[in-house]
Amino acid sequence: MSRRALDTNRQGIEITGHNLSNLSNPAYARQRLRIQTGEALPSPSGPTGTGSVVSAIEQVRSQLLDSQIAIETSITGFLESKQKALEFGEVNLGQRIDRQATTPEGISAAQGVGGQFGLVEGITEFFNSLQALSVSPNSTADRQVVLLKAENLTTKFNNVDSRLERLRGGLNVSVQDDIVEANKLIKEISDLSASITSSELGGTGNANDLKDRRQQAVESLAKVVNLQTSIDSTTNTFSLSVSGRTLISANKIDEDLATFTDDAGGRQVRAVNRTTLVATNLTLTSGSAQGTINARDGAIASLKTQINDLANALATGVNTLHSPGFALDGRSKDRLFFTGVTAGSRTAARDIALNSALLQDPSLIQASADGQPGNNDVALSMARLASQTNAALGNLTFVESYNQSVANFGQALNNTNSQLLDQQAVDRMLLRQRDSLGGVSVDEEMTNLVIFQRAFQASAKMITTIDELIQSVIALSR
Amino acid sequence: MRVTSSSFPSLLNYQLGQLATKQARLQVQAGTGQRFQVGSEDPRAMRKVLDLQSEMKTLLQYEKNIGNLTDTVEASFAAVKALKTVTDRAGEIATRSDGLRTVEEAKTFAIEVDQLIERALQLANTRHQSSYLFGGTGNTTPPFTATRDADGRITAIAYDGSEDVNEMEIAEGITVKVSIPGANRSGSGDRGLFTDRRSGVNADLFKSLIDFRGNLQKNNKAAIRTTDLPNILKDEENILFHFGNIGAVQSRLETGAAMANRRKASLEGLASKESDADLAQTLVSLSEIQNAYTAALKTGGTILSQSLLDFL
Repeated sequence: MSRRALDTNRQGIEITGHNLSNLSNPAYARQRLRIQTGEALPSPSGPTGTGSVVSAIEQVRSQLLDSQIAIETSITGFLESKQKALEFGEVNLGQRIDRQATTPEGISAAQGVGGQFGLVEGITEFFNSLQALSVSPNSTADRQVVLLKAENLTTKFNNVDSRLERLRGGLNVSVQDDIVEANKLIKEISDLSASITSSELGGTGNANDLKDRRQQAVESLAKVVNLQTSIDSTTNTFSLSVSGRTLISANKIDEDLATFTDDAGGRQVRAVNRTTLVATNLTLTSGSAQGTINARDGAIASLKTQINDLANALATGVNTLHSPGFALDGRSKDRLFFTGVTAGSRTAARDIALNSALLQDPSLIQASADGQPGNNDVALSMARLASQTNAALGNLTFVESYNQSVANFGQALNNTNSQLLDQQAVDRMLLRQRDSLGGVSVDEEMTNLVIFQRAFQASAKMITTIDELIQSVIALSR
Repeated sequence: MRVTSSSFPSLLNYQLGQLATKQARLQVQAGTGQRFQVGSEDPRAMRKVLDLQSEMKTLLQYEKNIGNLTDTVEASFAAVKALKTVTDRAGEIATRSDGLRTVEEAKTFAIEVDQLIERALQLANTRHQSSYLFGGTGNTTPPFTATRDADGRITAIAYDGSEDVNEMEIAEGITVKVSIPGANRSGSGDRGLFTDRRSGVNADLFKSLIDFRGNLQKNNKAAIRTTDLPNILKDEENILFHFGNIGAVQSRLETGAAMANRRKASLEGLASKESDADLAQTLVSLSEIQNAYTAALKTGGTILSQSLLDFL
């Protein structure tokens, strides 16, 4: 009996040590010894106790809490990756407010140390330069300013478009990386599940530490893709599905995740059966892969389209007025102001350029409507485009349309930020609950250690006492 | 609720992170004077401020336009004022010529009128900022060309400029014509400074002066009295009309500048309301958060440094 007691308390001390050594492991759920009263032996005076036995090493873990955390982790992963993608988008758009650099004096002071030059400034300054040209249409200096501002504007359009395109490429790579990571985790979960089933075969005990690791892997996978898990209580095997497709069935991987490029050039996710190689497109609902896809095909794609529409409308509007005008020599005409843009172009922001002939000779700007060098009709009409609404831009002016795009994109990121804040609060609450349930407390473990130590010491004393009693009995017979 | 050994550190970590983020944001607000820098921080206000800033820049451009146009109008005023002295003197000579006794006396006046014609031509071809003031929209070459006789005297002056002048925008949708065409021979459109053929005006300064000079040379008092003097008076009236017109344009430009200035101040106020940080409030908030940060550090340090281990 005392030997069993020593064994029980030794195990108690070992588990306390195991708990303490995993104090800083966030995936760990504390373990505890389930001690039962030993089987009583019949005796003339009735059943006599035989001390204690260890019936199991239990893990303090809630299945419900774990599955809730996996679901919420997936939503958090979705929102975090969406937030990151949209933040990149906002940075790449490059539209900031610097109120200290809005007046000429402020702009001068901000030279080399910041300032404000986004697309809206480019558009405003271009049309303002046309206003200045309308006041002195034969001034070469004012013509050069118009060209300088137009070149700044086209460069800005080109840069914003190429940055958004690079971001799209980067987000595609991010989706691919996520899926590579997901497949690694799926393999790890499958291997761990097989080990758990084999360890627990015959009901010899719980594979607690392996379960910790599997739960950690499941939560890591949930961060990447939405998933559902189940354990077959009969066979003690694990299954996992993503968006309705079973990837792990009875501990074995049936299907792998893969990516493919859709018609719009965006990377999407599908499941590929290992045996039949049949691929099924997945509609993910959460997880970081879907967060990236959502941002890429949602707010970022809209922003890119809106900037293209803006470049198209602006270039078409200016060209339509400029073409019939006359250059300073009173004869040259029919030149486009902007090149690279055709009606209905979907790549206007990328292709828009200033007509190189004008760059070489500012006098070729066709500011005159009748060939007289001092006539400003065309210059003034072009300048007035700035305040005219455009049907292709939802009946907004160029600047209003762009500002609306900036605000809409900002709103998308703002919404994601606040959703993520709410989600993080839910995550924190669930993790606190799990910590409260299964986290390790030094105070508790030290108290347990003292209890097991004292019980061990008492059991040892029991042995020495019995030993002394036996010695006394032996001494009697001498 | 069961509190474990990781409860305090994770809570403290979260609180310190939140407080540090708030401090960083308030520091940026205090450093820049703005509540936000990018659209995601306040999309509605961002939209409004970008609109306001764009409007402000357009107003600044209108102000520049008005400044340039004011210079042009002042140059026109100076030229027209000088031209008025020409017609004044010509009228004076025409009045006095009635009392001349000899042809020689008349010829002396003719020489003076000849100079007045030269002066008027010089004024007619006045340049301002690389343009000829009275050339209309064809203002890159001298608008008036003189034909001279063997003695170098002007016998005729032709107008090669344009009879059209530009509309200039001084505010959204508000235009003003600041230039004066040198001549209007069609009888409709903008009134010419030297020549205007519309009925009721019928002014032609150069022709009047050249005819007057010819009649002086011949001492043709009757023609001077009945034709030249009335013609010179018509030209003077035409110049007076332009004086008045220039005054009206100047007044419109001044009004435009004042309106732009008022709108700028109003826009600045609106943009400030939308985006500027209240420095006093920012500093008070920063101070509060710094206190909370210090308190979190202190309490966290106290709690984390103790456990049952210290007493066993």
